[in-house]
Amino acid sequence: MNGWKLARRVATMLVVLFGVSVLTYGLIFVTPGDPARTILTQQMGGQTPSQEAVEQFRVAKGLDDPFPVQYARWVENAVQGDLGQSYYSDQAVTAMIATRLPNTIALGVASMLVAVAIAVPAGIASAVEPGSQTDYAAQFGALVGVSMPNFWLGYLLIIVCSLWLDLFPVAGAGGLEYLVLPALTLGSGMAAVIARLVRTAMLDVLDDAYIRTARSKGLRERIVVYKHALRNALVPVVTIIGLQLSYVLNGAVVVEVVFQRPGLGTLLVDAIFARDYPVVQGVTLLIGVIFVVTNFAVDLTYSRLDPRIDFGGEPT
Amino acid sequence: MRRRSSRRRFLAGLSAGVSGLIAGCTGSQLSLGSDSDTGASTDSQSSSAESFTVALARDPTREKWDIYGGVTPYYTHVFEPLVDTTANMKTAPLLATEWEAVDETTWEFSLREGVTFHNGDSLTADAVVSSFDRVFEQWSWVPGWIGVEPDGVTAVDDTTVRFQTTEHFPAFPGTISHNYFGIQHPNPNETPVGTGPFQVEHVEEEQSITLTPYENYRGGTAEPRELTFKWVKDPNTRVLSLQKGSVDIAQQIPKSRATALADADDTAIETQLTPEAGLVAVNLYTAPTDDEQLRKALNWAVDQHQIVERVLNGMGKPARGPISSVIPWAVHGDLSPYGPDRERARELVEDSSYSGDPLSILINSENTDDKMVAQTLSGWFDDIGVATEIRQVDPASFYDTFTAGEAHLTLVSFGSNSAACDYLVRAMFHSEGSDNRKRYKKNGTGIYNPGPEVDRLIERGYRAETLAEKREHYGAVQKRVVETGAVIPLYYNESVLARQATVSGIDGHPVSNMADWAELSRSD
Repeated sequence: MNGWKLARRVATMLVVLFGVSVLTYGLIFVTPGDPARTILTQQMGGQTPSQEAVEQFRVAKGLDDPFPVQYARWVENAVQGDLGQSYYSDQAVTAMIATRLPNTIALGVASMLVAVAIAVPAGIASAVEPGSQTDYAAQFGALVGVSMPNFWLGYLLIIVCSLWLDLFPVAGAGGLEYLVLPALTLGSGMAAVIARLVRTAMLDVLDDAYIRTARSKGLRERIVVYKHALRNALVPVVTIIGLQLSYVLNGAVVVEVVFQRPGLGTLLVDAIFARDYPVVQGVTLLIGVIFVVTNFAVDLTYSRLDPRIDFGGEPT
Repeated sequence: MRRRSSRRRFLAGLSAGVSGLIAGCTGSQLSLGSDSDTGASTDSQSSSAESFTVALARDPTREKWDIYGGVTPYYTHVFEPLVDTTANMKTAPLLATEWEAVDETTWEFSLREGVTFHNGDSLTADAVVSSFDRVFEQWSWVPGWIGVEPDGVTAVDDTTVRFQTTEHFPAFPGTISHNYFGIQHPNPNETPVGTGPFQVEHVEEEQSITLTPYENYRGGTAEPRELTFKWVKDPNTRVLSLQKGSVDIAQQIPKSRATALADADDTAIETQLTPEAGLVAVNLYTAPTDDEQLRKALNWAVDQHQIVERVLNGMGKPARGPISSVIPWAVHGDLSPYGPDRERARELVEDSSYSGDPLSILINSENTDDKMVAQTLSGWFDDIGVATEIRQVDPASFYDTFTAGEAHLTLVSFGSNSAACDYLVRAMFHSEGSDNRKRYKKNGTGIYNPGPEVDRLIERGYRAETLAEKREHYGAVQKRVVETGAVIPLYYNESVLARQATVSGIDGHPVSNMADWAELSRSD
């Protein structure tokens, strides 16, 4: 690994994160909606707050300062690791994120496992016998998986697996039994996308000369497919798995609400609707970090799968 | 060969890492929720004879302000205020037995004797002062809300508390009947300590609160052996949790799902008229709704009974005025309904200055019923020759958009969470009220504030000493805004909760978060 390239990459990541913070702060600021009134109304159980209360809230939270002052204050604290306090609960944003992050990580990883476990075998089976009933069934399944909204599939799984079959709890967070239905819900959509890509990549690779050579050497089909073809087909698949991280974070918003999992998705949505700026900013920054780090990890994985590619994602 | 074994080790390590990651993430949750969990263990709670689980739409632990020790002051009855809100939205003694206005800006409250906190300490005036001081210290905006100086709460003696208000405020006792002002022990431990019929047993952050009855409660020990309030945000998941039996009671059930739950053998619903009224606020200061003829035409086109029956599934009461009939000074019975009479409405439209441009109907995207109400209204208005377009905005933007006067018609619903409902009429119809203030200050207009005469009536009602006097002034305001078409009354809201058919003893309340759980029981 080249040190200069690594340093350049880290610098790029920092610039991206700075851009994310400016854009997020600016967008929230210009969006209509007064955090003081919204949060006080929620805290008072839906009752309209008095104008005096709203004005005092603004002063207490520094919302009466101009935008550049508020942003500079946030940056100054953020570089020291302090993401501020929630306007709503007065809790430290870092503590709120720390409480929720394990739930979202568990959901993300489990759903990704579900997706890969479904998609890779389905994609391979589909590619090995193109035009067969297996292929059509896999493609139809992928189409359904892509088309089905998360929330709808979530309710369907609750009704079937929880109400009818009594296999899993309806909702909540806790042991692995709480993770199965949310992971299936979120993973199925990703599985559909990945399965289609695995199929396409495998079809390309299976036509290559070295595969014909392997077959002509009398190697068993299983060895040809899994050892020679799959590994070379995985490079674009790994890319898409990395990109699917955005799907995990977007999908988590819906899945966490349906299955009542306290995670980053629900935290972000609640904060946006309450105009709880510090929480929105903190979670968005974290998501930005996750994205750039994941992209970096994907680049590293390329070189692992294909030594001809260096860690920057470029052929050597 | 070496590379292959290395890759295998890599994959094995990766698998182990992923498994560990999931186990770690879920394990941390297990350790947090080991004894009072939200699912499997909750299922077993539901089958227990004396334990009950209530699903709430909002997080009972999110109100984790220091002053409440992580327990929502709503629903739970861990803390009690000095003043109670009765079923007809009047004030009644609770921790205070009586109160009097010593002069125009001074109130004195006498505390009930024999009240003890959950830790056995007696309730004293100093404890009450400390509780209010803590609220004022934490939330600097609260004194402004209830019209008290930050240092305006003092102990006169062991059983008398004095409040100094910033101005003459006859409705003050009702204002502090809000759940915000539940009295806490002056030196709270980690577990919140109040005086209510339930005490805190366990808090599962961002998930649930488990309570047990306070055995020395002055009114007798509550029936449930254990009462858990569990956060289930999504309304459909609340319904599914009830159907599964994971919860015994589910609050805030969508009206569209209520009929099915009422018809099922295992579940039942309970409804309660609330102090909340749904109405259309008509912009009096923008063309063409500045024309009274057009506003009256819109009123003549609306059939409130149809809205309640078709859109709200029969759960609600057709409105005649802008204030729910459950509020003591509402004059629902004295108001004449407009119609519906669409023939007359068409004639009024023809006589008005309406030119055919569509009127905008602003709705809050959070309220699912509002979209259906708006579509129904749009159909009726179209029938009388008035075109409309529905504009839906997110909850945080809604109020700013409304008060900026960006719509001709806005679907709003307002209610009170305490026995003090005066603020409603002031916020809605006074030129300096929160709904109108922005535009009134800017250019002397507003939204649906009819003008100085109504302002004077509201100010008189605000200072009225008796209910009859208040009703006279606020009643005149209600008549005025209905007669001039400043509002189109739609419905008085009913809250809906669903329960297992075997569960009984829920003592409902117009303010849904004040429902009483002390008599909960289960039949076989």
